Amino acid sequence: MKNVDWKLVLQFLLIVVVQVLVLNSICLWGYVTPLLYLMFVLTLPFQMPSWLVVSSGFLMGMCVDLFSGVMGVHAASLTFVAFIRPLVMQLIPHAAIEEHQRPILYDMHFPWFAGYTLVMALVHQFLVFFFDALSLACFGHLLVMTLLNALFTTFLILLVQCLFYNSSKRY
Amino acid sequence: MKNLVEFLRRYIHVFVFVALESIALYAVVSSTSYKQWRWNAWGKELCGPLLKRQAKIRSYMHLNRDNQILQEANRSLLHRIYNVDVGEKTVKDYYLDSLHHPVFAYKIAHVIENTTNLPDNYLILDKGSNDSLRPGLGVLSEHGVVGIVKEVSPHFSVVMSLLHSKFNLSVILKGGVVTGVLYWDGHHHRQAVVRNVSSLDDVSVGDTLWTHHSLIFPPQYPIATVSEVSKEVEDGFYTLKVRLLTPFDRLSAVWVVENNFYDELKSLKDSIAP
Repeated sequence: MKNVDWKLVLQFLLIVVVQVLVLNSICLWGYVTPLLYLMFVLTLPFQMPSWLVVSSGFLMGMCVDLFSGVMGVHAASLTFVAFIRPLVMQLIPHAAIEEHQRPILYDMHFPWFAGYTLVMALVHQFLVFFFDALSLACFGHLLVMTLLNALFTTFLILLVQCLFYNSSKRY
Repeated sequence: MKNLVEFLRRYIHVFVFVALESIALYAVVSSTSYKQWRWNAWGKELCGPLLKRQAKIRSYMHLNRDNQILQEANRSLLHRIYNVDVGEKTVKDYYLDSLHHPVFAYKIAHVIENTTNLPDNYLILDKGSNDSLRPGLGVLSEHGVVGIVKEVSPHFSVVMSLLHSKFNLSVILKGGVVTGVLYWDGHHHRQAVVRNVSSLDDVSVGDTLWTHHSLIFPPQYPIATVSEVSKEVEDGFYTLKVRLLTPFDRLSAVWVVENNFYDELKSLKDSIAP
């Protein structure tokens, strides 16, 4: 317990509240609901053990599910995304990571962070829509929706990163 | 044994992932509508206070639209209540007969400028000749009479407020035979006087005053309540002090009322009084 990062816990709660109370009510053009809560999993420290990342993804997804009234859709998607996180990180080339750095916009290069966010958002959105429908019947529609939503979510995460995050070097 | 522990430690995230993902997927796949509903109810129980607060904020944001709906509803109700028939029919009959021409037509308008502290006060409404407003129409609020349209431009109109030295209106006391003429005495935006009151027999404080014999306003539309009865006689008539029902200091939505028989009645009146 002594190693609990209370800042992360606070961030968790804040993101859940913003997601369920504000963003879940948004339905741009009748299609796009940004899923900002993905950002929590994206920005967890590099050093965090993988099982903890997966678990926090599950927990975050459950919280969003609880408010949305659907069972397991967000939890399943976010758990999966949290699991493939190290893979995606390796996939996109980046410079050597220093000890204090975190996977946030200020610590990393913009192209890396944008690409990383977009890939994760695409996978996540696809799974959310897929689990929600549980079929690939309207595959074209599914893809278009995934693309639109992922782009918007990426945009929102980048925006939030610009507005509310500072470089980790200060700590 | 040591190898096994090492193996477990190394792939623990895979095990955690498989376990949690299975739970989540099981929830997704097995969710029938009943289970969904149970889950939903449980979730609502847990997050009730938060969701309630959210609903409050949301309803606040929708107030504008809700207001418009209410105004429209009020307008149609007004239309029903204050539309006496020209023939000898009841209000109900009147509605069944679609051939009949309604006596009063109502339009919604909003006050965009308003004064109450001058000797002669005017209001400006956000509707004008484009919305077929013209000088001489009456203006009402849901509480009582507001004034009369004086000037119109394409998008706006100027209304002579009841709070104007030139404004007067004949009134009748609720249910009674006592009549008088209402003036604004220029003091306070909730106070006015009624002159030419012939008797004080049935008058008591708190009685409502209605419009009476008006070509502009619908009959029996409320205006004010009696606040003070003085026994002093002035030229053979009594004077009442009344409290106006319309809160002129916070007027927002008003109705502009048009008497569809105004021209006919006016020409008839003019024909006997050259």
